[in-house]
Amino acid sequence: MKQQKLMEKLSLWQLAVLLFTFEIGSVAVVGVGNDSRQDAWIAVAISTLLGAGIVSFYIMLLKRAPGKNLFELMTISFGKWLGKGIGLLYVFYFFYIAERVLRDFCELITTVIFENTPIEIISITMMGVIAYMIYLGLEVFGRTGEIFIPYVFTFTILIGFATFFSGEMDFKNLLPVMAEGIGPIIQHIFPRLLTFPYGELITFMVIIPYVTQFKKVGKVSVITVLVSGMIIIYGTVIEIATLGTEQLGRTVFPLLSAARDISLLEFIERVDLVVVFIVMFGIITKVSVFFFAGLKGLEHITNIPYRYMVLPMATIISYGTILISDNFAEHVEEGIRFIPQYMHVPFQLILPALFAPLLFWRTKNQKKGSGHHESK
Amino acid sequence: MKKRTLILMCILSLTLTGCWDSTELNDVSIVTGIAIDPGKEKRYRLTVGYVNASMLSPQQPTEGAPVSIMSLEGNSLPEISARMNIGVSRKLVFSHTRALYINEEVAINDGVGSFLDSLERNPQFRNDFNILITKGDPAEKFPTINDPVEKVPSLKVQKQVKSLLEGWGGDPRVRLTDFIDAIVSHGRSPVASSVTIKGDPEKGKNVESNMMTKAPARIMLGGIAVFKKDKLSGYLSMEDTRNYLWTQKLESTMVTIPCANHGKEQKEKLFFDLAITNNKSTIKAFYKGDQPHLKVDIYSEARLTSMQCKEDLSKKETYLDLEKKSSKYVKDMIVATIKKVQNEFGLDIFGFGEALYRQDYKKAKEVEDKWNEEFARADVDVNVHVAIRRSGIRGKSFLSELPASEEE
Amino acid sequence: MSLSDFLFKRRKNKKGNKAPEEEIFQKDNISKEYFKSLNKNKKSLQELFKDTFDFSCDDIKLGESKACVCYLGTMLNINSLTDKVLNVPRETSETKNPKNIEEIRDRYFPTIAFEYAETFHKVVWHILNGFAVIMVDGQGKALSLEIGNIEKRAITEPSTQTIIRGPKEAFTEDINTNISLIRKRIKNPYLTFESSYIGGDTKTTIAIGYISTITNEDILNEVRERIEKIELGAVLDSGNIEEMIVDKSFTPFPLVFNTERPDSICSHLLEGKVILIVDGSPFVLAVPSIFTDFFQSSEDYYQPFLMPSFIRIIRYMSFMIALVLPSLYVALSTFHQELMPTQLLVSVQAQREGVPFPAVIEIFMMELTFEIMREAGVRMPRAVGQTVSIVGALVIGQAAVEAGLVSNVLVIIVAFTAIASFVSPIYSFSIATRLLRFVLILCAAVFGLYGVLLFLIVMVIHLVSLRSFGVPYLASVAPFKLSDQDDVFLRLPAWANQRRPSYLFPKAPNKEKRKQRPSPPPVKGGEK
Repeated sequence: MKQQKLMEKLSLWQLAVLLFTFEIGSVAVVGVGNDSRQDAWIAVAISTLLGAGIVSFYIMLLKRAPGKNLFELMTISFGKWLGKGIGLLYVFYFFYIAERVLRDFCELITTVIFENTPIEIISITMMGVIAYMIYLGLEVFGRTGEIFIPYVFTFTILIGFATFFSGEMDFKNLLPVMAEGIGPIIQHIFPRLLTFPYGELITFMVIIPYVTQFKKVGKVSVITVLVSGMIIIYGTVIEIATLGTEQLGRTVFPLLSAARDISLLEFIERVDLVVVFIVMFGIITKVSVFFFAGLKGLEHITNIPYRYMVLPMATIISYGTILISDNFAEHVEEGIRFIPQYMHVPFQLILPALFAPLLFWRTKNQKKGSGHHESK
Repeated sequence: MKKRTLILMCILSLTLTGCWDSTELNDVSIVTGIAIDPGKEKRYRLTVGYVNASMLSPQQPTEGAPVSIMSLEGNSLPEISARMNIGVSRKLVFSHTRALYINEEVAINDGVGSFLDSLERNPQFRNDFNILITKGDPAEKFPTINDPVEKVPSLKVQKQVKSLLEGWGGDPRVRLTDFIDAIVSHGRSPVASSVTIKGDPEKGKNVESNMMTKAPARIMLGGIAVFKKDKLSGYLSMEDTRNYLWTQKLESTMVTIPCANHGKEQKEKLFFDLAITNNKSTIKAFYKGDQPHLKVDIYSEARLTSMQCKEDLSKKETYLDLEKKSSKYVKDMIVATIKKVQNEFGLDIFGFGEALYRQDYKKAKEVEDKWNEEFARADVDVNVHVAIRRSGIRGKSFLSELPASEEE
Repeated sequence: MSLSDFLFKRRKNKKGNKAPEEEIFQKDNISKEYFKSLNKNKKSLQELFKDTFDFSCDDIKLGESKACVCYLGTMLNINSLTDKVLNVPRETSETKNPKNIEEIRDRYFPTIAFEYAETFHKVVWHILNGFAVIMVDGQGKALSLEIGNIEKRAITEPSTQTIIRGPKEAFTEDINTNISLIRKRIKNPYLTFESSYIGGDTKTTIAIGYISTITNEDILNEVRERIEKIELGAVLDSGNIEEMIVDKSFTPFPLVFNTERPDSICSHLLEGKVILIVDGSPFVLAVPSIFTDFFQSSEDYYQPFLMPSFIRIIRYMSFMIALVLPSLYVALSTFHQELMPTQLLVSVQAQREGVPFPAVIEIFMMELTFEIMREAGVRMPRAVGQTVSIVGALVIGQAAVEAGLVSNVLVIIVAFTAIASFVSPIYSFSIATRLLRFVLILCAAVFGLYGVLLFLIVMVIHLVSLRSFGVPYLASVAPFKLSDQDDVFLRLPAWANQRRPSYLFPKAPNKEKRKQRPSPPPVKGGEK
C-alpha cells in the first residue's frame, strides 16, 4: 500500500490490454495480408494460430528463469559478453522497428490530414508523448492502456457496424474462397504475416517479467493473441467487404479508406477521425513497447537506469523515423521485401531458437544454485 | 531548472511555428459542383461551382446568387484547380463536392480515366459525390441552374438522385470508387447516371428564376450511361435503368401491369399497379459446355396500389393470379433489358463476369479477356417471383361493383 | 461540555498527543515556568497581553487565598463568566479554607468543565482558547475553566453543493460543531478524531477523523505523517493544508476531496477514507480521493439507482464537453472542414462571414470574457450581482454577434461549454476543466484534431501517473478492478453494492454481510 516510487509492475489485465493494442496498432494503419486478396482473412486466421504458438514458445523461455527479461536470458545462455553483444543487436532492432512503426503513422497523418505540415513535427510530437509516458514508467504505460482500451475496442467494432449499416459492405467480395488453393496463402503467411504482427511479440519478452502473476501469463497471452487475431480478422473482413479486392490493392490505408465510406443518418459521416484515433493509440502503444524494450536492453548493457536514456533515445528515434526512408514507396517496399526476411526472421525466430537449447541446458545445470548465480 | 526551460522552449517553438495546415473558414470557398468540358486550347475546361455562404445565412436571406462559378482550361485537374485563384478570391475546398458533371464529349473521346485518378488519389475528395454524364448542353451550365427549393444546384442534384433512387430506382448508385473498380474489373463494365437540362439554361442561371413557380430550366435525370472501360459507349433509357437496378439492388419501385396479356381487357387498357417494397436478386453465370448462361433470380415483395381489373381482391386466387401475371411481366421486361444491353453494347454492366469469377474461378480466368463477347452471346434466363402481400386499406375495388359493360 | 467535545478530548488525551503549547511558545521566548507567586504570574501575563484591550485580569478572593481570574473577554460569554465564576466565590467564602487547587475547584466550581495548567505556556494557551484561568496564590498550577463559547454561525444549508433530496445541513466554521454533525450520523465508538495544531502563527486546530475498524492503517499513517510534516505560518482554511499534503502539486486536478456536506463526508468515512477537519473552515477534506469521487454527488445514493446512473454518465459526458468542445470547434473550422457535414459547414461559414478575427482569437476572446464575468459574478456584492448577468447576456450574447465581432455558433459553444463545466458536483474539479480548456484550444489551433488527441493522451498519461496518498488517481478504472465497478460509472442498487472500494484496502471489505435483495412476499397459492 505504501507509496513506492519506482514500482514497476503490470497486472495481467494490463498485459492483455497492451498485447491487444500492440497487435491491432499497426494493422489498423497498413492492414495485413492484402496480397492474399479476398483470402486475407484466412491467412490472418492461420497466422493467428501460429502466432499463439510463437507466444507460448517465448513464454516457455521466460519461465525457465522467472523474473528475467529477454536480455538477461541471453546473458544467461550466451555468457556475459556475447549475451550483451547480441543484446545490443536486439536494441538496434527494437529501435529500428519503433522508427518504422512511427513512420507508418507519420505517413498516414501527412497524407490524410496535414498535407503541408513537415513530417518531423508529427514524429517529434508523437515521440514526446511516448517519452513522457515511458519516463513515468511501465505502470503508467499499462494504466494508460487500460483507459484507452474500451475506446479502441468499441470504435473498432463500431466501424464495422457503421460500414455495414451504411450499406457499403458487400460480402460477395469475400468470394471465391481460396480460388488458387492454399499455396499463395502459405507464401504470404511465411514470413510476412507470421512476423508482422505476431513475431513482433518478442518485445514482450522484456515486459512480461514485470507481470505480478507470472504463473498465469502464458494463458492470458495466448488468449489475448487469439482475441486480437479475431479482431484483426474482423477488420480484414470489413476492409475486403467494403473496398473489394481491387480497391484494397490500390489503397494505402485500408481501414481508413473503409471508414471514409461510412454514412449513417446523413450525419454520422466523415468519421476518419475515429480511425486516426484508434490508429494513434495503437501506434503509441506499439512504439512504446519497442522503445521500452530497447531501453531496457540498453539498461542491461550499460547498467544505467533507463530513465536517463529516455530523452536522448527518443530524440534519436524521432529523427531516425524520418531518415529511414526517402519516400513512401521505399518505406513500404522495405517493409515487404527486406524487413521480414533479414530482420524479423532472425531476431524473432532464429535467435530465440538458437539460445533456447542453451538456456535449457544452463538452467538445468544450475537448478540448485541458480538463485545465487542469476541474481548477479 | 535547465531541463524545464528546455522543454518549455521546445513546446514554444512548436506552438509558434505550427499551423501549416490551418485555414480560416472565412478564407475558403466550399466547392459543391465540378464540371468538366473539353477545352478549346488545352485538354480540359474545368468549371467549379462554389457556395456563396452569406447568401445562405438563415438570418439575413439576401437576394444574391447562392453559388458562383469559375472556369479555366488546362491539362489536368489538380493543375487547373490550383490555378483557380486567378479569378477566385478564396482558397477552394473540394472536400464537399457533391456532383461531378462530365461532358459526354469528354467521356466519348478522351475517356474519364485520366482525371479520375487524380480524384481518387486526393484525400480531399470523398467517395460521396455523384458522377453525372451531361447530355446536350455543356457541363459548365449544370452547376448554374438555380432551383427555388434547394438553393445550391449541386446539392439539389444529389438529393434528387437519392430520392429517385429510393422511390423508383433510376440511379445506379455509383460512386467514384465503384466506378473505378468497374473500370479495372474484367467482369463488369462501369455505368454512371446521366443528366440533361430541360428548358433554357441561360434563364436558369438567373437568380430571378427562383421567383417563378415554373422554373425556366431544370436539371433532369436521364437513364444510365454505359462505359466501355473508361469511354462512354451509350445510354439506357430510364425504364431500362430501373430494370438494370432490379437485377442489382433495388430499394423500391412501381410497376404498372396490364390486367390481361391478350383479349378483351387488353383492348380496354386496364391495369393494376404494384409498389415493390422489398427486393432480392441473385445473379449467376455458368457454362454449359461452351455456351455461357446468365441466370437472374428475383424475388420481390409488393403492395397493390391500384386495381382496374375486375377480379375480386378478397379472394386468395386473385392474389395468386395477379402474382403470376406480374411475375411474367417483370420477367419479360428484365429479359428485354438484358438482351438490349447484349445486342446494343455487348458490355456486361450487370456484373455477370464477377459472378462467374466467384462461382467458377478457373473458367473465369480463362475467359476474362474476352468476357464481353462471351456476355453478348450468352443465353439469358430470368426467374421472377413477385409476392403480393397486401392491397392497401381497401379489399375489393369499387370498380368491380360497377355494372358490367354492355357486351356482357 | 458537549458530547462531541467530550469524545474529542478523550481521544486526544488517550492518544497522548504532545501538548501544542510547548512547541508553539518555545520559539516566541515565552518562559515556561509557572510560579507559586500570583503576582509574578500576573505580571508576566500582563506583560504578554499588555496592549490587548480584551484581556482582563480580575482579582478575586477564594476563601482566604488571593486569586485572580484571567481571560480574553471576547473569547467567552461574559454573562456566564459572571454567573459561574465571579459570583460564586463570594457566596461560599465563609466556610473552611480549601488547601489546594483541587479542593478549590471542588468547593467553588464543581459544575464547570476544567483543566489544570501546570505550566505558564498552558495558561497562555488556555486563555487564548477562551478559558477563564484562575490563578491562586501559593498554588503550583492554575485552574482553567471552560465558560462557554462565544457566538458562532448556525448550521445552514450548503451554499456550494446543493442537492434536491437528502440532508440539508452544512458544516460551519466551528470544528466542534462539525464533529458533532458527523457523530450525529455515525454513532460508532470506533469513529475516532485525533487533533493536532498547525500554523506557527495561527495555531489552528485540525482533526484527523477515521473509523478505526475500517480505515487502512497505512493510509492513516501516511496522513498522520504528512500532517506532522506541515510547517505553515497560517492556516485559515482547509485549502491551505490541502496544498501541503498532496502527492503532487503540479497538476490542475484536485487530489483532495472537499465538501461542506456532512452526509457526503460520512459516506467517505464509511468507505474507509480519512477526513481532515480544519477549525475555521466549513470545507472538510477527505483523502485519499480519486478522480471518480468528483463525479459523485451524495444525492446519487438517495435516489432510486437508475436515475443517478444515468446522471453520472451525463456528468462524465459534460466533463468531456466542457473540456473539448471549444477546441473541437477551432480544430474543425480551421483544419478539418471536410469532417463537417456539408449543410453544417455552409451554415457555420455563413455565420462566420464578416467576423474579423481568426477562430482561435474569437474563441479565446469569448472564453476570457466569460471567465471574467464568472469571476466578477462571484466577487460582486449580491446586490449588484444581477447586473452582471444582464450585462453579460446582453453584451456577450447579442451585441457582440450583432456587431459582427463573433459568430452565433461560437456564442452557443461558449455558453454550452460554460454550463457543462458546472455539472461536476465539486467546484474545485470544474476549475481544472476551465484551465485545461484553454490549453486545448491552443493545441487545436496549432495541430487541429491531432493536437487535441495528443493533448488528451498526455492528459490521460498525467492522470494515470497521479496518486492521492498512494492510491492511483484513476483507481478502479486504471488499474482496473471489476469488483469496484458497482459504484463508478453506474450506481448499482444498494443491495448489490456491498463492498467498500478495494483501492482503499479497508479492514472490513464488506458493508453488509449477506445478500439482501428485496423481493415481494410470496403470493398465497402461488405455484412456487
